[in-house]
Order: sequence, then C-alpha cells, then structure tokens
Amino acid sequence: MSVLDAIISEIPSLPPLPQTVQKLVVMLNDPDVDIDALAEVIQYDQSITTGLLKLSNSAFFGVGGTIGSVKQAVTRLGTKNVFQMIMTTTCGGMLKSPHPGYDLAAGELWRHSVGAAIASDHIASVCSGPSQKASAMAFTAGLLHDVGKVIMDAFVGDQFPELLDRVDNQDVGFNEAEIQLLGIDHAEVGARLAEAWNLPASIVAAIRYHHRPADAGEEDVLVPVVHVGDSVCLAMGLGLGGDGLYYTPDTEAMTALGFHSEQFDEICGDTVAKLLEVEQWFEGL
Amino acid sequence: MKLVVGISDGKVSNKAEDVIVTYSLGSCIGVILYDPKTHIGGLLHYQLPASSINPDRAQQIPCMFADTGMNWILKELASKGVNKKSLKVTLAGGAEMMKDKSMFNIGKRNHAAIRKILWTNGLFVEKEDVGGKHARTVYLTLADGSIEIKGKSKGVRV
Repeated sequence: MSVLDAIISEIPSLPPLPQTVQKLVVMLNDPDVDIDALAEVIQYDQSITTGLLKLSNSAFFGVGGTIGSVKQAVTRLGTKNVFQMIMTTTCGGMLKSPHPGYDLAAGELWRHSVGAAIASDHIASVCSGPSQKASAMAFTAGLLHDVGKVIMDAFVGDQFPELLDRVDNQDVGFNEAEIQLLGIDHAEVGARLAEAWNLPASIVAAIRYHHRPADAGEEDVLVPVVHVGDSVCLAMGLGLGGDGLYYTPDTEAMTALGFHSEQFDEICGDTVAKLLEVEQWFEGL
Repeated sequence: MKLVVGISDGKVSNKAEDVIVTYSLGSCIGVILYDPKTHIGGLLHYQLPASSINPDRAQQIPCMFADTGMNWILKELASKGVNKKSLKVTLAGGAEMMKDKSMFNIGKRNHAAIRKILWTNGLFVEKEDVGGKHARTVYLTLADGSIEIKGKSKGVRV
C-alpha cells in the first residue's frame, strides 16, 4: 500500500462528529433559527448537554444564577455562544492531544484551532462583500481548518527532515512539500474528513483551500476568511508546530474581504484580545 | 519558579530561583532584558509594532505593542531598582511567512520598531535570533542571566 493509500484509509478511523453537532451546523446557518427547536436537538444528547451546562455555570459565564436547562443556556448566553461552546467541547478531545509528528505538544493544535476559529468569526463579522453571509459558519470552519493534521501526524514524522529540506531549499510551502512527499496535504485530508462528517460544502472548501485560496471557486466565500484567520494565528505564533510559518499568505484574500493591507495588524490585535478573553471559558474543562 | 509569559504579556523578577519563559514566538518579538549587577531581569512578548492603531487597547493590554510594552517593562524594572544603562538586551522572534509581500510582514516591522525604541532609550542589542520562518521558545535564568532560544525544528540558538 502506498503512503497516500495508507493516509486515505485512516480517514474513516477518526470518530465522526456527533449527529447532534451535524444537525446544529445546518440549523445555525439560519439566522432566524427557533430557540425551542435548537434546545430540543441539544437536550437529547446527554454528553453535549452536560458539557454545555458545566461551561454555562463556569466562573466566566456563571453570573446571574445557576443555568439548569439547555433552553436557559441558549436564552441567557445566545445561540452563537452556545453553538461555539458545543463545537469547541466536541472537537476538543482530538485537537488537544499531542501531535508529535508536527512537533505539537498537548494543547498546541487546540490553541491554534481555537485561535483560527475566533479570528475567522471576527473577520467574517467585520469584512465586507459576499463573505459576510458566511459568518455563521466561520467559527466552525476556522476551528476545523487543520483537523487533517490529526490523521497526517502519524505520517509526517518520518518525513520531517525531508519536508523541511524542501521548504528551506526549494521555496515551496509546507503544504506543497506534503503533496510532493506524501501525495496529499493536511488541508485535503481535513476536507475529506469534513465531507465524511456531512459538513456543509462551504466549510469543506474553506478547509481544502485554506493554504491556496486562489484555487477556490467564487462561491466559496469562507475560503478567504479562513485563510486570513489562519495567517493571523501563524503570525501571532498561536500553537505553532515544526511546520512553523512555512506557508504563503495571499494578499488577494485580504482584498476579497474588503480590507486594506494595514488592517492586518488590527485584525491580529482584535483576535488576540478576544482569545485572551475566551480562554477563560475553557479553564478547568 | 517558572514564570510563563503569554502573548502580549511581560514578566520581571528579582528572584535568583526564577526562570522566565515564553513559548511559541512567531512574528512576535521576545525582548529579554537583564541587569548583571543586580540579577534582575524581565521578558516582554509583544505582537505588534505600534500602539497608534488602537490607543484604547494599548491602555488595557500595554504589552501587545512594542512601544507601550517597552515603556511598561522599563518602568517595572526601574521600580525594582534597575538602572537602565546596566541592561543587556537580547531579541528573539520576528519570523515571517513565505514570499510575504509587504502586507503580512509583521516580523520585519516588529524588528524595525524595537530597534528604534531601544536606540531612543540608549539601549543596544547584545544578541539576537530574529527572522526565519520557525517558532521559537525563550528561557531566561535569573540566577546568571543565561538565555536559551530554542527554534522549533531548528534546535538551540544563542
């Protein structure tokens, strides 16, 4: 079996996103989603409900009395916060573990992913143009953009010296070096995972093209959002692995979002300020 | 004790048993300041070159920016009895993404900003490990002022 076949055969081995989460991703794409319908979907999933109530009553959110039901949590904290809590707790397990192939200690891929989720959510809310419409999906797409590394981790370790030699001496991005040596990159593996989890096409595209936004279609409005969100986290050093900053930023993505080049600093500042705030959400979880 | 400096953060210490560490510098810069006479030192991990883009934020999180971050850490060191002129300065970080054409190149701008601020303060860089495309972790041991800069996938520098 070739390395490529071995990587692809590993994709089904990752536990799928719970059905509840798959339903919520679709429901929350509708800005007028009914709170009762949302609470109904969540409350039948015991583990998600337990996690949500624990977080809702944590030091950060637990002001104004105990939250005892899913509906109370949605009403008090808002659908967006509740959904972001559910996504981050659901995906936490696989992202938090160490990924030694990429030289990522426990928690580092998690930090990078949460950073990209926050950055993408922020970018989608302040950008102009068609990407604004995708803001409900931006957090999830950012959170999962590097999920392919969870699978690729077992395969890049042996090749790491050669991968670094390519990026250092042949001027190719780390993702391109992955394709050259392993036949596939972490972005494509992540996109195939997202497809297997029945996530919407816009999220699949954002994962697939996050290192090469120019190759995406015009309808893939989340792609520039996640590309810039990821670039923010790389520049800010949030959860960097051995692949470091060996990726190429695309200035066209900034233009597509209606930003001037100088605004990149502002986006970085806003993202880190928000990250410092929400990191308290997850303390003790 | 290990004192961890986060992003947009800084710490100073006058305790010989302390080690100050900051993990994962990307385009951010770690400024390591150490006074060999008093064995007092500090580490600033700032992310952006200039507070002028958001003065309100600079009030809340001064260590986010090179200028307000340096003001903050120099004041902290002075309050512990450090004479600025005795400080040894080391810089780490300022990495760049690939083929970065002026827009994202925060690393270079961060480096230029700190050189200017140090010069204005009459301080000079003794050692630096800046640039490239890899993440760095920095340790400062207060007892003797020794500094270790580890580059991910690059080994120990400086």
